[in-house]
Amino acid sequence: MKKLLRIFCCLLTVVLCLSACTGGSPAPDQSGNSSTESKQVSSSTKTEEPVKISFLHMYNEEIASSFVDGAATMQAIEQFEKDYPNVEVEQIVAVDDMTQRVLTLSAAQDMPDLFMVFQGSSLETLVKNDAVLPLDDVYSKEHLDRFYPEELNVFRIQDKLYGMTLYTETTSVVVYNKKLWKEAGYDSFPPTWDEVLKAGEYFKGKGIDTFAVGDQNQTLFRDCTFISICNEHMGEDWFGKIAANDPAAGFDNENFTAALERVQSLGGYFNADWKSIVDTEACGQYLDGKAATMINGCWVLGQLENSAEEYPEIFENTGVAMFPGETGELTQIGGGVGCGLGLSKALEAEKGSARYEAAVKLGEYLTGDAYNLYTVEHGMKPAIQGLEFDMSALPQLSQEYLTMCEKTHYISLFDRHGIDGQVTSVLGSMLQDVASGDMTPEEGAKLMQTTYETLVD
Amino acid sequence: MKKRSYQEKDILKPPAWQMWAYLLPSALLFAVVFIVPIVYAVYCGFFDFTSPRNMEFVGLRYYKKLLSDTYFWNAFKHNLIFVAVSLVGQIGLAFLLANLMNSRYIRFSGFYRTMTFLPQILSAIVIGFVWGMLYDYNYGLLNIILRAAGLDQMAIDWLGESKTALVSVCVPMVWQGIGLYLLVMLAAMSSIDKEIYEMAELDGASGWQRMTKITFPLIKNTIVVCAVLCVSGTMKVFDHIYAMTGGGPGQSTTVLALYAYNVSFKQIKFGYGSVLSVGILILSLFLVAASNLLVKLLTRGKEA
Repeated sequence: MKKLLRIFCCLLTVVLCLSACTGGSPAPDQSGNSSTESKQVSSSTKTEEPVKISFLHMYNEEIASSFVDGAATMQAIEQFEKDYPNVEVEQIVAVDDMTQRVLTLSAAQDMPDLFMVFQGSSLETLVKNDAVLPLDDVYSKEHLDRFYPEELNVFRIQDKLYGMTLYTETTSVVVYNKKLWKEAGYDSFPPTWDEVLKAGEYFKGKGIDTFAVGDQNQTLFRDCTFISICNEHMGEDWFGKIAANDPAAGFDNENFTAALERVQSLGGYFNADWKSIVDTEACGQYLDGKAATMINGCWVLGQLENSAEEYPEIFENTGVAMFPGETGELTQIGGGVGCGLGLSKALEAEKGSARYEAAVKLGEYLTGDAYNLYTVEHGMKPAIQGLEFDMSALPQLSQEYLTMCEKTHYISLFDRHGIDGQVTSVLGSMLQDVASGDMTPEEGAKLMQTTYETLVD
Repeated sequence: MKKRSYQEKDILKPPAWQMWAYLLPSALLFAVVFIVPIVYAVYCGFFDFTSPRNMEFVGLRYYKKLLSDTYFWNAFKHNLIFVAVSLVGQIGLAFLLANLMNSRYIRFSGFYRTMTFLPQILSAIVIGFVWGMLYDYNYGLLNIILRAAGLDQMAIDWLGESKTALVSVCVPMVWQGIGLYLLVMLAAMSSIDKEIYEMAELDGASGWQRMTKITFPLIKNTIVVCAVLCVSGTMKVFDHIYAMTGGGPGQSTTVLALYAYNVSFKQIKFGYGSVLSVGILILSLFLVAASNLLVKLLTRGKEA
């Protein structure tokens, strides 16, 4: 009996070990989230050398199907693979932790051949780590000249270009329900906050929220609404001074307090749960007709278009308006370059090789006409100039958005100015406190000043 | 008693070098997993860096900054609240429930025990999302019940109001944590001789008296262990809050681990993030030692 038991135990151990071994191999990730997926491209022409290049991006299947830039990227890769069947593109996906992933890979000197870069301190770190290739001599002048110069320059450090614009985004887009606003007595969205709040009283009486906001992550209100309010009160230069820790600039002053007073005046017109939901949930409230307005990034237009069939009435009555101000609509609003494309410095050693050429060519596909045509046809602002497209063929909402883009220019977001992360983090949480009345504008301004003086490195 | 031979003693107590040799693999593993990261975190705190390749020495700057960082101390205050609520809610309730389940008057105690332990096997992130849905302003069960009962004014945004967010986050933490301590205490209670309770009953002792005069003193060492586990576990609380509020609204539910995470990985300040981790370690050790000492002091009189 004991012998039988021993044999059984031995067999059990072997089975467990074997199952542990099989369990150790990674299971295929259908979502593609933070996983590496390879697409083997069969070589159609045996004369061409098989080549493998890697591209780190932030689009898994789900995001690629719902975000315009994601779909455009997938389309560009697909086209590239068709045109160059000997090239295998290894796609590495990092959805939420793109910056962290790029910086970690750069520290380990294990960069993918192509990757997404963001302006500001992360790009500076990549340059410091000698991980990103200057592109001035890699791409032709004709190719680089097609980008909007002021947008391309955000990727320039000490006169060297380290990235090419993939897409530009407006973060302060006012989306409003024309029907509800007409009922409130406005044929178009009012240009001043005072008028907006006057209408807000009407909506309150009707039991409708004037604004649908979702700020659980404490960034949306800061980057979509406050950035434009703050710019109106403080002026563009102020952001640069704060980023440079200029002691002459600060938060504890009349103008900043006035900006916070405006924030506090708006707080009473938000949905009751604005601090515990995210922007997609807020969009749901707008689509349900519970709110008359949303101030969100241009990405919300895609979400609205995707919901057009389910909410035809709301979609048909939705319009895009200019951002209101103290005395009139603002022409400088939050936004700028969303993301760029960078190449690995390691490619430099392979200059002239098939791998090098393939990586450079894929870069052209990802920033070329086809990519930008796709984005603009789906309501995004193009990243390159001279793109020919039929504006009248676009959906009404996209037309209104692009018309608004023509009238406005951007103020970069707080973190993209290079403002200390701790300051921007406290700003996000302080705005919630001020808007909900837990803190006075004066207290908010003092808190920011203290943070700026004590926590900034 | 039979006198042990030299060889037997030798087997029972091997020479010192042999004992060290036996300990070496575990000691090495412990050092690699625990000691080295702590020492490395202390070391990293002397540098400003966004990548280990570019570390700029800043001396004690970040350690000094930690002392004056109001957000760190504010987060610590929230941790202390969580610790207090967990000690009372988890250990206290677990002790009461264990006494109830240990009573011979309670039927189906095995079922209750299993149900109480069930949340323990769920991921904190899952718990966070589920409770987030329960607290939802528009569609949450809590507000639906309140509105159905005609208490519309009480139906608020539980996780979005700074006055209620902290308490709202505490509830699922307590709910999830009770099961483990309940099992530990039931196990400790099972070792108490039933005759003691029978004698006490014959002497006319009430249920409360049996709980406080017999059960508590006899399992106090187990309670001390539970308290230490509870304090150390609560000091590193992160996932519930990350899933439910993200530290908001404002900073009202930000705890130390979440603050350190935000500084390190959202603001990409690895140097200061390391200092924050060291700060959390020191405060946690201090709290664990203090709770240990406090329980010992409280129970010393009864021992005598």
